[in-house]
Amino acid sequence: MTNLDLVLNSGFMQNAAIAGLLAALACGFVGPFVVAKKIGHLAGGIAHAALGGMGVAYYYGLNPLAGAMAASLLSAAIIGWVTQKSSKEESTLINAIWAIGMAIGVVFIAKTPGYNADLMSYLFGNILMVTTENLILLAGLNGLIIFLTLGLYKELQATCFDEEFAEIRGVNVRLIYGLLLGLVALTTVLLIQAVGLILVIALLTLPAATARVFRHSIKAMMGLSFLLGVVFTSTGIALSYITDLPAGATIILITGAVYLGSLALIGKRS
Amino acid sequence: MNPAIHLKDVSFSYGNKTRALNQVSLEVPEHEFLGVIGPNGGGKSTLLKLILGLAVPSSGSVSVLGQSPKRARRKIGYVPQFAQFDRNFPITVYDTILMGRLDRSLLFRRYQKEDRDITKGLLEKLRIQSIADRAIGEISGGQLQRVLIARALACDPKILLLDEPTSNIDPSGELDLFSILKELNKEMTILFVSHDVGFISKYIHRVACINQSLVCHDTGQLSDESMRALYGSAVHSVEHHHAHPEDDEE
Repeated sequence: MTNLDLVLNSGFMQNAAIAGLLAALACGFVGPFVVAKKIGHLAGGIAHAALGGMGVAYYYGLNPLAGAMAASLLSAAIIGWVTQKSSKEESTLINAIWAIGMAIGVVFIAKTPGYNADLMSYLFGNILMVTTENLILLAGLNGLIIFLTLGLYKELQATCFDEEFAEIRGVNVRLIYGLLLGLVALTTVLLIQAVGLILVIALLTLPAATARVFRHSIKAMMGLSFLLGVVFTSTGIALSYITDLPAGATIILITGAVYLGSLALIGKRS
Repeated sequence: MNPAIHLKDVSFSYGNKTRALNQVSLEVPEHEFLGVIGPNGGGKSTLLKLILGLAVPSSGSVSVLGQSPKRARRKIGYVPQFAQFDRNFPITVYDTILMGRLDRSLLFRRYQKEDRDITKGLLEKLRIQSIADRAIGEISGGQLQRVLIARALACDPKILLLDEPTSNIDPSGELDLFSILKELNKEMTILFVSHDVGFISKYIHRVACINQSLVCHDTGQLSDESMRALYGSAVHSVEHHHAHPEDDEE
């Protein structure tokens, strides 16, 4: 219990817990759409390209999270635009953006004078080092994500399920799909702080995919994947503190283990 | 009175090569029950896309209820091929039907009580109340077919368009489907496309054969005997006595 008291009372642990909660909220609201629409690979491209923006921001002494946001929104716009034009090029394009974004990030970080310890934290997260300034930024992003996903829920659901029908009903499906990619980009930024960009996709998709096993609508998946996200991030943070393991990777290992367990449950059911 | 659907000399090409439709003219009066048959790749889905305003003809004109397809399409109930659906998508039967109540003016608004009442009424009308809360992955093909018809009816349509409604459906389901459509035909124009000729039933007023160009058969002008010989339920192919000019070029 003394360990737990220590954990709960230290300022940086409180910040970490709040960052974990914010990450869980974002992946709870956006993850179900990504899983339902099966655009996990696309979200992967958007997330990894964020490193380009982080590197550039780092080089110019700006907030790397702001750089990540700019880069992931830009890559979401490019991917969205090209996939509307032709779906044939989609997977190659995503791979290209994925790699180019990361390469730009590595180049800029290498050219930045001084000790480049931050690269690891961008890649694998630094939830224990989250600043109050970043927390405010993340909370604002979260508000925007929740407002848009709830406000446009029926349009997002319809566009993911049956684009053609939604269009006939007067929904601007291009706009809504673009918006969904934008939401993925913003969520990516939130998750980078928690688990790093390499592990973003796991936290974005696995709680939602686990929720999918037990729930039959996107809305129901949102609630459950948020709860799962909270459990995974908080136990991950606590466990990493106690065992002195990297927090991001610990969160993902718990997330992944539960997801695999839920898959085994499906196998048993059928 | 405007015809429900009117195509005049419509041609459509994908890219600059493949011509999907060639000089197609078709007039569908209100309350007609029209079946459009043709081989795969014969232009059936292109025809539907043109009527729905999802594609624009290269030449010629399309009008629906006297308006452009884009303006009129909200009065069209569209039933897509149910076989093409991702059955694993997390959505319930009830929510699927509710989608028919979507409206562009309702951004940032939830579905209203009226939308829910209409959805409940349609669940009863199509006798699918018992599966309302099931996921679409847990119901049979025939049931999904009814769900998609209910969703189309939720739009309060004047025209019902169905794409391959009989594929992957067993014969009893097919009979069921046609008795539903016969009832609906009292209130609305129905047009459906199929590659399968086995569906031709006595409820259909006309059959249009489409293979790049389009020829209508007025079933009323055919004798019962020739109808049975040509389109009897056991027969799954039709011998064409008219010439499709494009056939010769292939």
